[in-house]
Amino acid sequence: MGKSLKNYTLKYLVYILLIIIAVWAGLFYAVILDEVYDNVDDGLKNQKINIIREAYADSTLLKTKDFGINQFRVTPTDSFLKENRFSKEMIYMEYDDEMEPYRVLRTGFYAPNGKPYSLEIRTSTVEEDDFRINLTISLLALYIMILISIYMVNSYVLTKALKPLKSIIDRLQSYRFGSKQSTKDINSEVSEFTILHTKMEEMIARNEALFEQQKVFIENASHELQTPLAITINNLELLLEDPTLNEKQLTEINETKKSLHRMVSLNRSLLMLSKIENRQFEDSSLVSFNKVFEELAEDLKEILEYKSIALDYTYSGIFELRSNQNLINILLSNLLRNAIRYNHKNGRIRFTISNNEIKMANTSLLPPLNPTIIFERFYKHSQDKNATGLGLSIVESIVKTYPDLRIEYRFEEEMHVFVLKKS
Amino acid sequence: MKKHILVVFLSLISLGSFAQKDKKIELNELPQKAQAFIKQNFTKEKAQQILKDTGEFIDNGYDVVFKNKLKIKFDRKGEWKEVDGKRSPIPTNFIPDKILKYIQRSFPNNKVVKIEKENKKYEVEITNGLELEFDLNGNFLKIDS
Repeated sequence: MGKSLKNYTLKYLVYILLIIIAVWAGLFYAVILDEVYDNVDDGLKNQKINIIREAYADSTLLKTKDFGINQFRVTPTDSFLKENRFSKEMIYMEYDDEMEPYRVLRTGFYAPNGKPYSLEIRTSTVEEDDFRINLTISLLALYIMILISIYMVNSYVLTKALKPLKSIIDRLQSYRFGSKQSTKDINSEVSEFTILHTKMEEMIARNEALFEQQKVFIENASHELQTPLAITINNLELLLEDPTLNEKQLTEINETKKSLHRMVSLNRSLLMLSKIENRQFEDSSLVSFNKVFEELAEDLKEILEYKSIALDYTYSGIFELRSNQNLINILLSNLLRNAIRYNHKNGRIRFTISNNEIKMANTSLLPPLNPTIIFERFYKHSQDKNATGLGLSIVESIVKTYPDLRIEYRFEEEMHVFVLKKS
Repeated sequence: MKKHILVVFLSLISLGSFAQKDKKIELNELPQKAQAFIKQNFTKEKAQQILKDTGEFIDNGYDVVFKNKLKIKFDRKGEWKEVDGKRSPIPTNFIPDKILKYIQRSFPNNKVVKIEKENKKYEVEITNGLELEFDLNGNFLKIDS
């Protein structure tokens, strides 16, 4: 199971947002600092002009040797830089007993007497460390908040928007081929989902129609084959009575007749399958499997005796199901006939019935079968020439007709075991 | 300034010549305009040296240096470009009144020590070392600090 669509975009956003915010933070930091310094510098430059102007009005200003409350000092010098030099310096600040960053302007001017003086002006400025930490913290908070809100909006909006998709997925997951379901309409504003839904419904309808056609075709074909087969067999019987035929010819005709009989039974089985799948055995009543089996055993008694197979029948309850009597008859008959056909001489069949389970085990010459393919049509063991390969398919079709019924195969204690369960 | 660099550059790349030559000339060899400017404004001072900047290809202008170190730059048409008193006050007759008034008002006790005329503005340096900028009409622009 992969990631849900909801969290898919978030995975990328986590990284992209981090990168964007980091880059943005860098730029923002640079721009803000630049702006701050620009402002501070402008203030210092203005102060310079004021100080110089004042120095001409009041020459005592020239004796400002130390940074006092004025935050500037004037010192006589021989040479000075006429342009303004700005620098950042750490200066002790009494207020919080710490070194704090100051912006310092170094420049110079000429006194009224023409002598050069250097002038230093300073002012407290932004603490870059604190600024960086604060910026980082607030941006981290912003990042987390953005992620959370994106996640929440995503969850809410996508859950709402993807609701139709979920119903489409549910519909597809519960879809079984050949079983018609009522289709729910989805009410979505998203055109893609509406298209998806209608296309899916169309596709299902098309498949169902094809499947239906195929079933009808098989049924018709089998039906139509019956008459010519019967006529052919009849004709062969008539031919067999012809006294002019020699021994060899009679044998050939007999072989042909046998093959035709096989074809008839194959055809009958196919027709049966189609009928079961087309639900032509609709009428149902409460059928006792015990009773059906007992009648079957009675019918097959001679064959069992002939093949010297011991039938071991025990029951601890009555297995009952609302179903079609004929179908159950076919179901149990097919299972029992299989058990007889593939048994060896002096073999055993053990038939156990409880309230919810029927277990039929038989000895056989055959090796364990592959449970995944035994119910497929035309599956048969290679040694077997007379089987149609449809017996177990019919069994499975009948079981499928009743949603409460299950069948499984296993090989245990050297016996082939088929188990019918009510669920 | 740029022009100088350009000229130096051009001179350097032209074969046989390594620097521009300053040719000494007499006062009356200056363009009429320049002569008039000097006569009008610098009556007391005596010109000590007059140089003609001659590039290989371009006539650049003239430098007039006076005995008190005052220096005037003219372009080749004789229009003054710069008057530099070398930290001493310069005569102010040719300077727009507005500029002088501004300096008097904002920086009392200050004199003009240098003035430069550029394409769109005057740059004026006063006694205390500050450089002020004015437009060509003499309106204050900013203090270039």
